[in-house]
Amino acid sequence: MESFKIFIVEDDRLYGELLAFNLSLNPDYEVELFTTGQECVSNLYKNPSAISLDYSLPDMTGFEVLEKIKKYNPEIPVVIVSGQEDVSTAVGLLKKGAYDYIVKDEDTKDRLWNCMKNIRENLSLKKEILELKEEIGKKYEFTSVIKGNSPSIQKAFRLMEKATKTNITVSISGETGTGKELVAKAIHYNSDRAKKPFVAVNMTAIPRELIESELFGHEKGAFTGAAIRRIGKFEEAHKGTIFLDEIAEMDLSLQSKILRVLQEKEVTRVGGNQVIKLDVRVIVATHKNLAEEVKKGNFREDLYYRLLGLPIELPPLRERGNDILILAKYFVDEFCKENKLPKLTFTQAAQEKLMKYPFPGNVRELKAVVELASVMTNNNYIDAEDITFNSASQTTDFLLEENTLRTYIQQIVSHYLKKYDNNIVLVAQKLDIGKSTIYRMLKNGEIELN
Amino acid sequence: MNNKIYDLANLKSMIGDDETAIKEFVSLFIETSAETLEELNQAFQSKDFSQVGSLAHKLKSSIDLMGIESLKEEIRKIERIGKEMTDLELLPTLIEKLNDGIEIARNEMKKDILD
Repeated sequence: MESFKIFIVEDDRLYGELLAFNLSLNPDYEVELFTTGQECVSNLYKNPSAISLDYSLPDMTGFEVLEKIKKYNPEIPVVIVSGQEDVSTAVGLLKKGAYDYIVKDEDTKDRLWNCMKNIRENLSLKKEILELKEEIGKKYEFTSVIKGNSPSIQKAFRLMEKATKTNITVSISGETGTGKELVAKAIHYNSDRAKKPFVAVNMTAIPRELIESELFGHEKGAFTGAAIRRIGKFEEAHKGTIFLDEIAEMDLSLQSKILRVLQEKEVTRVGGNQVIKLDVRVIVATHKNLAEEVKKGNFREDLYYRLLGLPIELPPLRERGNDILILAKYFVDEFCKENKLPKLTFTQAAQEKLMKYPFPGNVRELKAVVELASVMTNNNYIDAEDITFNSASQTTDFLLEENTLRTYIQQIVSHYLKKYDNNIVLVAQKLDIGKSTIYRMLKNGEIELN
Repeated sequence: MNNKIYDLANLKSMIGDDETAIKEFVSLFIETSAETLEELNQAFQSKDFSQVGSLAHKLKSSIDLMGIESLKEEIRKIERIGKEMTDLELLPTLIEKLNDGIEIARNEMKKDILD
């Protein structure tokens, strides 16, 4: 842990030395004593981590010194230590930004010690949060988020860069698994709002009866179960970005409320009257075609135009050509790194298998497939047989084999015979073919009874 | 039974039983209380009662720290009079008592601890 510098400002030299002696018992504390307010102010350039300030100094009052400290750096915590047992003074100082107010008595030492301990822990937490935020920022750098050289993804990449320069509303469209939320985060963390909150709301994940209070917040007692006041997602995202996913799933009444929030840039909590001004950047996403939804009457036209802003279309993986291999390699490398596995490569056959598959689950599916393959292989490479596709639509797997029509027919008939316990009459009915066709195939050895 | 005018229990609770440190703080009290008292007497002579109050405030924590029970009430009265500018006629007696008390405490401390 870094050294923690404490200024003690105390005109009673005996008392000051005593506090300094006591705090210096912690080897991590670097304590400096000043006997006037001016001395303290002139030494602020040394960036103290905390200040213990006597209220009654010969040259200035505690209020004046506190004001000067806060003007220099509002982040420096100032603990007032005073013989002034006056509640209104204490309250006044706390309102002016003092961290705590300690009255000089037999407990002063312990209270000041605890105060400094808490301040130090808070500083350490703040630092950690800052580092994590920077870490998140790095995680969402464009080059980390967008992998691939295909023209369609490069176009999305260029639009994302444009989106970071202004506060324009962004509408992201694309099939499930194409990385819509990742793109929204990358825009946020590369914009001026990066240090402020990114709040993601999936409109399909919240029950209809709760969605309003979730988005706009509610006052205490607004409805049964609203035991405390709660701020909504829009307020939570103040100064930052709100990401509304699956926007096409909102019902029309909610759409009109969202439209009002976007138009007025303000929100009123459910059950409340107070209007809360908002500064929120909006990014929306959907896997549906919003224009089509407008035509069908499922989506308000005025809201559509307000949300359209800068549209970014994320292409499905099957249309991204060689990006499949670039991404597969990236995901495997990351997976091996995270799990301390030796590096893995793809055999030619594995690459071909990946390239032929249409990936209905897009990038998300590719990631799952190659991670599973990394676990399944017993070698330092991934072969075709290590790759299993578990997509919801199994038929695509069947079509991947690129067989002749005759072979497909044989496979279909065999499948049905197995399914219906070799009942040739029933299978012929199901497939709308003659029984004789099946008998002929059996006779020729093209198929077998199971 | 402790017949001393002072009691170092409070000081020891803050710095422990380190004898060298106790000696250092006692010396510091002897030095600083003399300085502050001198300033307070001068302010009283010049009828700068507000300054008398401020200096009493400064001395208050040292008196508390050194456990000089007999002066705890007096020093607070002096502080209040200087701040509120009332009962000024009580000041001469209170300041005399303060001077005497500090003098006794300093002598006792010198004898008990520093010699």
